[in-house]
Amino acid sequence: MVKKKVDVLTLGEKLLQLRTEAEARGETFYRGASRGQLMAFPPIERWNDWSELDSKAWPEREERHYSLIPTTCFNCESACGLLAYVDNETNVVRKFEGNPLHPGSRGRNCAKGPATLNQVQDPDRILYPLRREGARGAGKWARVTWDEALDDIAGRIRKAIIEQRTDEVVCHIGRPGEDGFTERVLASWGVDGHNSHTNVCSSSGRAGWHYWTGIDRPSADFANAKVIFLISAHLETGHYFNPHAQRITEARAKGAKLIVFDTRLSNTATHADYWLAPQPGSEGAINLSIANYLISSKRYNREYVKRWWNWEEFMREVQGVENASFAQFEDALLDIYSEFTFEYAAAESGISAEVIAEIANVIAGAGTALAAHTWRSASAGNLGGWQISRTLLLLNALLGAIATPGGTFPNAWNKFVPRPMHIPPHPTKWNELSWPIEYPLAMNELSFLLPHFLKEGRGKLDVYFSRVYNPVWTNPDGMSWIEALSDESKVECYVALTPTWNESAYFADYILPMGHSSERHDLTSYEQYDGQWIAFRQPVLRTKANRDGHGVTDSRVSNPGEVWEENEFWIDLSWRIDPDGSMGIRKFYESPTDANRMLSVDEYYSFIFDNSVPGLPEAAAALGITPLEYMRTRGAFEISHNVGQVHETPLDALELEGAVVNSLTGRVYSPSLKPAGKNVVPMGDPDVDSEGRRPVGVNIDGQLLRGFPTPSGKLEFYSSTLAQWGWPEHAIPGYIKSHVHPDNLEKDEMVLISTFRLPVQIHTRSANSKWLDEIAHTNPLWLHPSDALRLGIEENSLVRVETEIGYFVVKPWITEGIRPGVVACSHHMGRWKLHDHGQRQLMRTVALEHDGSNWHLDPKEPVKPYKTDDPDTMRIWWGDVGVHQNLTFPVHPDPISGMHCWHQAVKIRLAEPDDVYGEVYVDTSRSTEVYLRWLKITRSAFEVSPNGQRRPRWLMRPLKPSHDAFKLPAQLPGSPT
Amino acid sequence: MSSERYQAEVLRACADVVASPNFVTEIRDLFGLWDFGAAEHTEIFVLELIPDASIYLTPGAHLAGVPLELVEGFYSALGLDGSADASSLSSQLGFFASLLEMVADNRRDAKKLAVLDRTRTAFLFEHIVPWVPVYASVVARIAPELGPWSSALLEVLESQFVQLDLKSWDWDAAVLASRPAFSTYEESTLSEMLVSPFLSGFVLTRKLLFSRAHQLGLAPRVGTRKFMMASLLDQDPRAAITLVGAEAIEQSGRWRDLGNCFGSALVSWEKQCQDSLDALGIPNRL
Repeated sequence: MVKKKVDVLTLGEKLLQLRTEAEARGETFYRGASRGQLMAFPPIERWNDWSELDSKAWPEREERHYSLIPTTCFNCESACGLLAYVDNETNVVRKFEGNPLHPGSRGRNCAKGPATLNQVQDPDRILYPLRREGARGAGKWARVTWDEALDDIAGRIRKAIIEQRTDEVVCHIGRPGEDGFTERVLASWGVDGHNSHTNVCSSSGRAGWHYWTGIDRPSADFANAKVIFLISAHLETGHYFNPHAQRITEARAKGAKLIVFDTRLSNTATHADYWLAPQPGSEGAINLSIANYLISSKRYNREYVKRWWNWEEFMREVQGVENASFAQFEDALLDIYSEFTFEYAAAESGISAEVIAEIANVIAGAGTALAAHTWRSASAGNLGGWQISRTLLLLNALLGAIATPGGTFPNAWNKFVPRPMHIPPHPTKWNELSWPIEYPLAMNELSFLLPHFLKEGRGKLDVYFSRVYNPVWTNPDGMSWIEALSDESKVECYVALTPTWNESAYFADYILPMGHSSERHDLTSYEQYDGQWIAFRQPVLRTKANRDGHGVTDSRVSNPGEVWEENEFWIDLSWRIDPDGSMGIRKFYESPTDANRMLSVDEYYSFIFDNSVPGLPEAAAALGITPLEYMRTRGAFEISHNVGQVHETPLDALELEGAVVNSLTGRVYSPSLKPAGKNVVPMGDPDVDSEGRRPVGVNIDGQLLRGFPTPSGKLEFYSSTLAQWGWPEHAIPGYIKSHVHPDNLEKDEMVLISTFRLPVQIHTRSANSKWLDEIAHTNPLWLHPSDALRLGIEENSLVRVETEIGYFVVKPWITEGIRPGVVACSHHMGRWKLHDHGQRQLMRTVALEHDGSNWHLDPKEPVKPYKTDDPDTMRIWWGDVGVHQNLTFPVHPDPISGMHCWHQAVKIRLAEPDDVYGEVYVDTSRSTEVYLRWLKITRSAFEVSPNGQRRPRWLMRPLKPSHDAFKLPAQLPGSPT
Repeated sequence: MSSERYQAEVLRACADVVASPNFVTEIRDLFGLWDFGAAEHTEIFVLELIPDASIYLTPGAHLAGVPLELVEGFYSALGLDGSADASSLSSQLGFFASLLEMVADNRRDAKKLAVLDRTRTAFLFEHIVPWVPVYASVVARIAPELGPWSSALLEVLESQFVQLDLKSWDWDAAVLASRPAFSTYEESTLSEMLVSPFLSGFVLTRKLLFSRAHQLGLAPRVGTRKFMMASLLDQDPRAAITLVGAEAIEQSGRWRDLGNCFGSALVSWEKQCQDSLDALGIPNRL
């Protein structure tokens, strides 16, 4: 017998005593698995000196010591936590792993997180400020100092502001950095120049949520759901796929059902309990047939609908029934959606009625635990795509699955944007180039139409920034962008703020290198579960240097070359625009302790962490450190969890003082001033009443509750905004037939789905990651075998894909993982460079030629091995980097949401013998024709504005101008009356 | 202070020794593991005896599989998030220690206590006892310096077994109930079966194979246990079977002794040993 008698109680007593003593000293006693969920990560007590054997030294056993410094990933928007392993001996980042203290990502990352190391070490990255020499696009660059670049740019902006040409300064945003930072910089200049990429991304997805809830994003509580309904490839690539995917996986382990609509057999679809591949654009019809089932079978949450929908307003305004009963509304509801039978949905979608009925039954069984999500996908692909997200939320609204455990929350309740030191006033001049009069309801700037507006003579730009954005490559109709950016009379100075080379930067006047995720500061918060957290992105080598006592106050000192970070860049630039403070700009960038000194990032964040993050000062004090030190050492802080149903919260005493309840609508208005809350998360801002009182709540069955930030204070089944602003036919959730609906296709046309991501790449941000490039570097055309047979296309064929404005030549991938009659091509590939400058691991060299409006992108050199200090660049085995298809897409702005409708009606055929793989032809005169055709279906604010404003002021807008700027002008500057 | 809290502490310390070679000096002192460094830790817990239920409770002796699914299901039923290596010894001991701490914290709440007793009974019977006593016993045999560690672990588990009155249970844990018999085999799969503790009923480590082989004048080739076993069978099948038989008889006796403490689970191991001996045609006394 092996067992010897041991006095385990004495042993345990000793252990407990020793553990208590060790933990009192702040040490980790149990360093292994008994620490539960954090077992895979080094304990935080040892982050200053964590030792590991050097894998590259094997078979020698070389121990290396690291400082583990948190930051957040800057590849996709999720901002997952990273830990940089900084070698204590060399002060070099050796690897990135997950930060277990990040509440959203919980220590887990996708491939893109660790690949940040490649981006930092990329031998082709831009390390110094560059200024163009010679003609735009000629590829000649000279290194300049930051001072030279800043002085020139600041001088231009200063002049534009003084001459009241504030609308000639625009900043086009790609990857979001810190919530609201750039908006506040522009506001401090008095410039309405924020130009997001959102109208080629998520505007339609947002619009659907916004009309319902007054908040423009969903936050699904996947982990607690009974049924998860995704119209997307969300498990592998969506917003915010890593934090969400891990929670979806948990829910599935607990028995939740997963329903996925995706025309492709995506990785997400392969994990679904129900995968439906509907005809693109028909998703709304299916949603409505499920809604019809819930209504007609009375399986909806009557009490919730009665309490929280604005059904009374609908009955009054649409049905003309004053004081209608709920039963009358139920009858009307039944009638409205009765045409959307399973058979109707089947005819539209090509999915059998039985299957739709089956998932309708599953959804009905979810009760208040239905977590539904769509973001881009069908919403971004189709004309009227915003009705797809709106009809999806209709299902949640019918079941009462709004802000419930396992339901879907408005994102603003699961997000925390701490109030900064200053919030500058609203700009007073409207930017017509970003917010044109034809699109009064657009969710975001019509940024992708900018080249057309410039060509039409609607204005010009003095200074145009692209910030971690690649408009030539990312937007549709890139050749029109090249034409606009090449014309110095339209864009006088183009400044590309980018960490890496991109197709747009070739046409810039300045290329200013900005840091990657471990080289910059940002404060982020995203809706990833029912909780609120903040996470801190920081330049890790700067933090390490400061821990070592070096007192670094400028990120350029610790970053490679002269790579900078945006916060310091914008602060410095603003100071130079207004060096003496006479323009009222400098005051926002002065140190709080010395007005003659520039605000430092430590001062900026210290203010936020000390004053605007509930619980953080206390948590820091408990550790004997400052809130800033807490964030620098831990990287993230959870402010709350289980936020729950904010709309059910009773109003507080301050708001109730002097409050009045509108007897018709039940809206509660308060004369009290809006308190300066700590959380400045953006949401809808409904108008004040005729007495100037602000809406604070709504009367629900005699209780004065917080409600939703909509005009009615309720969930808006009926949108008076849409009704009053020219679109009464879409005032309730409905079905808009897509521009690629079969009725709108010619006989030989197919639908091209171009919006899907590849799981390990992210737009043009990740091309400088060798690990990712090796995994994914091409984008063949998904083609069903039946279509391939019909078209005579074989695996080794080349295919010509013809759009309205040109064509591209691509390789086919014949697969049953795509719906017949539909083709798909990922937008992530087809990177190109014109000259030697560029990212050589994923950008082929091309010739760009044009004859008038006819443009030709001609591939010249494939990607191939090349010699650098990194031996891996000699190991590049791939040459094929795919095709840049977006160049051949004309603009398709949705007349309501403003979203570019990405799906294309295309003709597919075998390539001609002379066609070259990867080549692209485009006629930009045809682009203009398509642009004008879509412009015709808009309803201008001049025609539809009900109140003399350009746009409903209550709708969200990233940078909102002053009240006066909303006033509809008699005519636009420079236009005929 | 209640005994459960002390027992929990011992389990946590045992778990920590397995999980990482970096366990603190205090634990090193208490278990007498002054010379048990990273290399020794790797030798025992990575190369010789991977501390994971799936190695001992799946026919293929591979990580993951049914034992992992069962323990994940257990966590899931309690509404807990399972860790990635839920079937590892350190995870299981850590979880059981948490249960003991909860018992200590809820001594005055009879309702909670009843739930906790049911939970720890199920976890101990279904997930720990089917393999941990066998594992701890073999660890102590091939790494005598871990004897105090093994004894402490077995001591706590036995006291729990007694306290929860599991000794009288004469049915098998779910994972053992599905144990296939080692009745017939093919030569092509024999080496694989012999190094599968679940199929054979005994645990062949590399050290044990070396030691037994040297006694018989054989020279095993270094590699995985399956490779080593195959090389011995190639060299001298009869001697190799004799070697295996000797080990099976030795371990069968150990399981019988442990059965006095841990009941039916160890009976299953002893029976599996005996079945293997029968199938190999070896009398149970060489």
